[in-house]
Order: sequence, then C-alpha cells, then structure tokens
Amino acid sequence: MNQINRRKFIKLLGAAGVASTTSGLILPGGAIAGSKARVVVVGGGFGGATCACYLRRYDSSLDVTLIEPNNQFITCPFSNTVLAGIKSLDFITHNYDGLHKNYGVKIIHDTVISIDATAKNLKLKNGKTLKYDKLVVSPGISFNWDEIEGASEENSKIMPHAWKAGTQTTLLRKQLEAMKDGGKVIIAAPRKPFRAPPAPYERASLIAYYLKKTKPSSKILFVDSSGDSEELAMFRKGWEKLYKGMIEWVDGSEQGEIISADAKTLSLTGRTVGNLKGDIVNLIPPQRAGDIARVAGLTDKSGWCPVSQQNFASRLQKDIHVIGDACIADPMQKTGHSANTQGKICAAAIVTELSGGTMPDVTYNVSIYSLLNPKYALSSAGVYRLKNGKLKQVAGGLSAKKASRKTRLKEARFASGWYKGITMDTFGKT
Amino acid sequence: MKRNTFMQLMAFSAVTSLFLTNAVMAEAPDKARIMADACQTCHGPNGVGSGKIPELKGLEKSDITESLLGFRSGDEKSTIMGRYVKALSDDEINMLAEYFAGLDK
Repeated sequence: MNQINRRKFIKLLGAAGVASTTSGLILPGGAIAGSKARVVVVGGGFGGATCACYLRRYDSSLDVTLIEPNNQFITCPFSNTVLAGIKSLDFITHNYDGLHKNYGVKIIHDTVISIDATAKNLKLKNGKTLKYDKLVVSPGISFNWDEIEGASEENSKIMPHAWKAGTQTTLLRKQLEAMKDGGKVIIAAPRKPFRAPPAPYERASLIAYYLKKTKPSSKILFVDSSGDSEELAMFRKGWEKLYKGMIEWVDGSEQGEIISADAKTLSLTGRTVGNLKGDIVNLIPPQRAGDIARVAGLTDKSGWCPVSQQNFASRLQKDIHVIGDACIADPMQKTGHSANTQGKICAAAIVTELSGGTMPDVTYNVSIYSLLNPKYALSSAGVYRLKNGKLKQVAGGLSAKKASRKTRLKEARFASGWYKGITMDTFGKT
Repeated sequence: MKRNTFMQLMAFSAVTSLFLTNAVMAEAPDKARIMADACQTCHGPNGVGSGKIPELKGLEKSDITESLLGFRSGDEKSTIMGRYVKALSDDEINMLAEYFAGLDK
C-alpha cells in the first residue's frame, strides 16, 4: 500500500465494489454471489414464514419476498383449544409485522395464480408478474372433496372440517355451544397422509373436555381412518381416565373409510361402519398438496410434491423448493413443527448453494404436543438425519406410557411454551 | 486512467473479490448455527422467550454439556429432551453448548 495514498485506496475499493455488484462474482460451481439474489416464498404458514425469516437471517443481502393472501395467519396448532373454549381465536392469530420490521422480508398480500418454472416468474391475481432466482412454495393442503360423495366446500359450512383454522374453527365452536346436552358429535378423520396426524386425537379429547363441563350427557363418535396405533392407545388410556364412556372410537381404516356424506340429515356412510348420524358432523376430508403446487406441476400422482430431502428442491421443476405439508418428507409427519424445520433447512440450503458451499450433516427435529385437557399432555418427538439422501429417524418417540400426573402437567406446560416459541420463531417476533 | 492506476485497480479488484467471496461464503450458516437454530423452535429466539421451557442463553457451557449428557444417559430426568438428545454425538453436544454459552448474556 506504500505506493498508494489513503484517498486513492478508498477510491479503488469503491470502484472494485461497483464492479463486483454490477457484474456479480462467479464462484466455483457457477454459484452467484455479490449480486442480490431474489428469493420468492409462496405461502405464509409455518413453512413459508420460517423460510422467509431464516433466508434473511442467514444472508441479509438476499431480496426475499413472501406472498400470502391473508393479512393474518391463524394457526392449526392450539385451534382445538379454541373449539373447547380454553383459548380465543385471537390467541392463535399472528401477523407478519415481525418478518417485515425485524428481518426485512417484503410482504405481498396476494394470491399466486401460476408459476412459469422456465421463465422463472410467477403471476399474481392482481395481474403483476414477479421474477425470481429461487422460489420456495409452501402451499399447505387442499381437500379431495370428490373422494366423499356429498362432501364439498359448500357443505363444509354445515359439516365443518375445521382443518384450516379460522372461520371453520369459529363455526365448529358455535355448533358445539349451540348443541343440546345429550347430543352426539361425530369426528371423521381421514387416512394418512394428512395434516397433523395426532390432532384428531387431541380434538376428540378437548371437545370431550368442553362437553363434560357443560353438557355431560353428550357423546363423541370418532371414526378414525388411520386405524389403531401405539399413540392412539395412549390417548384411549387417557380418555378412560378423564372422559369415561364419552368417546367411542370406531376403526374407519380401509373398508371403514367414509364414502358419502349427507348435509341435510347430518349423516356419514362407510362400507363397514354403516350409516352414522350426529347432531354435529366434523368431517375432515382426505388431503393433497395445496392447489398452486398442482397448477405449477410440482405434484406427482399421489397429489403431494416429491423433493430432495436434503434441500427440499422439487424433483419435477428446477429452482423451485417445496416445504411443509405439501412436500413428501416422510418419515417426518405433516405438522407445523415439521414445516418450521423444513423452512430453516431449506433456507440454509439455498444460502449455502448460492455461496457455493456444501450443506453440513444436521438433524431435522420435530415435536408434537397434544392436550387431553389443559393439565394433561402427551408428546411425540422425532429426530431425523439424511442417510443416502433419505431421511431416517435416529431418535425420538412418544411420552412415557406410565407417568405421574405431574409429568403430564409438565408436558402441558411445555406445550404452551412450545406454541409460544414456534410462533415467535416462525413469524420473526423478538 | 493512467496505466499504473489501472493495474493497481485490477490488483485491488482481485483482492476485494477474494475478500467478498470469503465474506459471502462466511454468510452460509455452519453446522453449529443450523443445529442451534433448531433448538429455538421450542426454546424461543436465541434460546429465550417461551416461558415454561427452560432458557438456554446465558448458561455456562459446562452446565449445558452436563445437562445434555445427563438427558442422553437418562441420569437426568426429562419429559422430552432425553428422546431428542439420543440423536446427538459428543461433538455435537459440545458444539451446541459452546454456541449457546457464546450468545450475549
């Protein structure tokens, strides 16, 4: 530096800076750095919001835009507590201010109507086109109405699914409040894979909690197309203790699956379970990836999105990643925590790829808390690692089968803590 | 631009490019950060804020290591951590303890 004075040095650095930002730096492997890569995230649930947040946390030079139709997100986790009158809808409602203010995520409230993977752009309902270098799609689920005769979006206003939280949650809550003592609530849960597999067990539990307090002669008929399991056995043991005689579980797997629904008579029919009539019918239909995934050619014949489990890159379209309920990430279950984990891993993988690096070997963690009442919870934990490109469970499991009341209470407290933690983490609250 | 200055600029561009390359490379999160970020889902941002779940920020490295090793062996009772920590190697436990102990108190 002895031949150049300080002023000249600064001038040179400035010139070099301009050169590098206008042309970008080409790194080994063709990665682009120094230029501001544009990443667009579609869908502001646990997957998309987390991914947008962590893209900016990992690389604040990235231009990150989150596209979400709604101004607020109402979570499915803890929506069963709203049905039971334990929490309000406000408690499970979150906004996107933290992502924008704390992490500089640009938010567009609109709906994506098409994605052009070749031109690398997407069209919004308002007519605008948005370009991207990398796209992350986190569209959640859509319902396969046509698998159940008589079931439809329209009829869900009479037989609510309440499997996307919001007006459906409020509707089912109002039906429960209006039902007379001695009434019957039918809960029909679909076959796997579907969003939040243990959540129907929690729903049966918390509806029983509400009915026992206010309408103790009422009953719940739970038609479960997932069939029996070790996890269900733990819930049934809890029901025996807490709600003896209130919840009747019916094996709705295979031939028992619900094949038709009648909104006029509030009845459901399955091949082996016969005709079931209730005062309230909570029909949770079979599911597939959110519609935009199909429109964009990201789904296979299963209706879900095949991805690399290392970086969640679509196996069908270049430069598009799919995370959350929509992607095929088994053995990870389709839950809010899985989506949150996938959002982080996907963000780390995109930043790593753009900088020309290699993703380290990391764990993928998931926990699912279910309340049987406000002081009794069970949990399921899963830790996964990639082995030959495929996720394998390496640790985890269910709560202890035998445990004291104090342990169940501790898990209920942790369930609340988990909810607070994951919503702060996902929506960029500090 | 004089030839001499041009050559100097080229040399500096190369040096700056290398610097920027390293700077950008360094932004990619490493293993410790990615794995520690997984803890935040339950424990809250930077390991604090989820009330009933124990805080991680500000703990001594030895305390974190001792707890995690205890959860893994079963010597220290837990509801869920024992089920999680069985997935971690000694090196990973050490790495996570160092990460959280290193956060501003």
